[in-house]
Amino acid sequence: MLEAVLLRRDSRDELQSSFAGQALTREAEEFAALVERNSARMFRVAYSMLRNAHDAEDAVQEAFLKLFRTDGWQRMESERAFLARTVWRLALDRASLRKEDGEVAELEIAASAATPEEHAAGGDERQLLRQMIDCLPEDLRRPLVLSAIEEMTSTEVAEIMGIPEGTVRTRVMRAKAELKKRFEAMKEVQR
Amino acid sequence: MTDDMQFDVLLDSVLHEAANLTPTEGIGQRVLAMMRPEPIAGVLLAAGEISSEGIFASLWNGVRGLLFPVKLPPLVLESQPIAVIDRMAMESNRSSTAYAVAVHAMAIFLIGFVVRAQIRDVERVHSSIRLVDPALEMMSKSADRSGGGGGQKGDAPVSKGHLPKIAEQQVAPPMNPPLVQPKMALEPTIDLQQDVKMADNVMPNVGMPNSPLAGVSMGDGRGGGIGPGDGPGVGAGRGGNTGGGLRRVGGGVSQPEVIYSVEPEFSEEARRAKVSGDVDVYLQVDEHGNPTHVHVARGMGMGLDEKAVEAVKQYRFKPAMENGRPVAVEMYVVVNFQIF
Repeated sequence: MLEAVLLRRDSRDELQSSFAGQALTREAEEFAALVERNSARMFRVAYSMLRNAHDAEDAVQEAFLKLFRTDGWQRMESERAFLARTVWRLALDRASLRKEDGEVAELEIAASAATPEEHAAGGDERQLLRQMIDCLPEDLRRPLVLSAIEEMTSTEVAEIMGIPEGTVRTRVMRAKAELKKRFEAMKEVQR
Repeated sequence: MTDDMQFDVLLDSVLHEAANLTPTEGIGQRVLAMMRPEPIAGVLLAAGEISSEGIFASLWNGVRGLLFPVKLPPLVLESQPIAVIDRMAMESNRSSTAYAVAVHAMAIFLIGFVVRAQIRDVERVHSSIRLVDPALEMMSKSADRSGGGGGQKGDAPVSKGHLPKIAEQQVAPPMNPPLVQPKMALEPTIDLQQDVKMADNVMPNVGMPNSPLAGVSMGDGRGGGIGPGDGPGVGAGRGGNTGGGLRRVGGGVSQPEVIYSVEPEFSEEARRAKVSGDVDVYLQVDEHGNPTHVHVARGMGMGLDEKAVEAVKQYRFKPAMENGRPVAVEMYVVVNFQIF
């Protein structure tokens, strides 16, 4: 009698664990797919804020970790927008934390390793322009770089940054105008 | 134009390159690996990398570190800061600054101008009311309407007799006939206007010609005149002359006291013209202290007369008293309008 009870309980536990396992694996597969789909894009969003590949990757990891823990990812309405906004906020936290600590950000300003092709095709100008983009004020630089990310509309940028779409467009325009002005001034100086 | 296009193309290309950085390989894998902490922990534990030192070893290490601190090699700063021109700094243009300042100043001036135009100047207005005794020159010059009176503090009303001589200087007759006739008798006089024609008779004693009473009495008035009035005149009423009617303030009649007053308003017209001056208002204060028969005696126009009357009509008085009884009196009020 006792054995029978034990046996029954064992089998039940087994059954439960196998069900749980199945659910877990299906969930994990879904999440893995989600990560694969979005990690590159999220990395770019984080990078546009932090300008450091290492920090950006950390931010992406943190975002996914939090999502996984809170199960928030299963209730997302718009996957792209939600993930981008999440990683943007985390990156913002990191950036402000960096500022508070007085830590000098290791900004990868204008990757110095220019390829031979770049050198051949006016690499100096590209280099200069990248430096200039990095030197723009943050409120101009962020929307500019964000909207340059592939498949990113200004509506999405506005949603990520939490500002009106019109403002995003204005800032992008202003950033471009400013870059042009500075670029031309630089050219004058060099000439 | 071509330069612009070239720049745009260049900028787009650079932006694209800067924004679409490819993450290091396998970021997704690493993220997923972090989702499964158990095996990693197991591996670390198996390798024995995580081990804690014993409590005594830890204490010994702490004490040793405190007593004999390990000297670290000095930190040498190898890099040197180099001063560079900040070509990216926002340049401030003097002309544009001046322009901005001018535009702001203009805007502030315009706002000020508009606001100033909206504000209407309101001058400080002051108006007051002064109660005055009716001046004689304001009264009608016809003598029959001008009041007056007299009398002596006798017990009986004035008796029939002839009027004393009319003079400017009044000489009161003695109350009782003298027992011894004076050697140089002074003829009694009364204060009566010369053009007043009054009936007279040739009776031996002094009195009112129209009195129905016989006897010898100067009347029960006051002031040395003849009759029931008060003053050096004849008849009822007060003051010199003769007559009756309303009392006037003075003598035994106390002045009415204002117990409720209203500040008269300025008319819009007078405010614009900035007119100052007095309006004389005639009124009678009845026994209850209410103003009656209010009208303008001497106005100054501009709508101020109406305003003055309007204000005086709202006045309330403590009535004039004569012998402890409220009496109606007539008086003038000077309403003073001043604008600063």
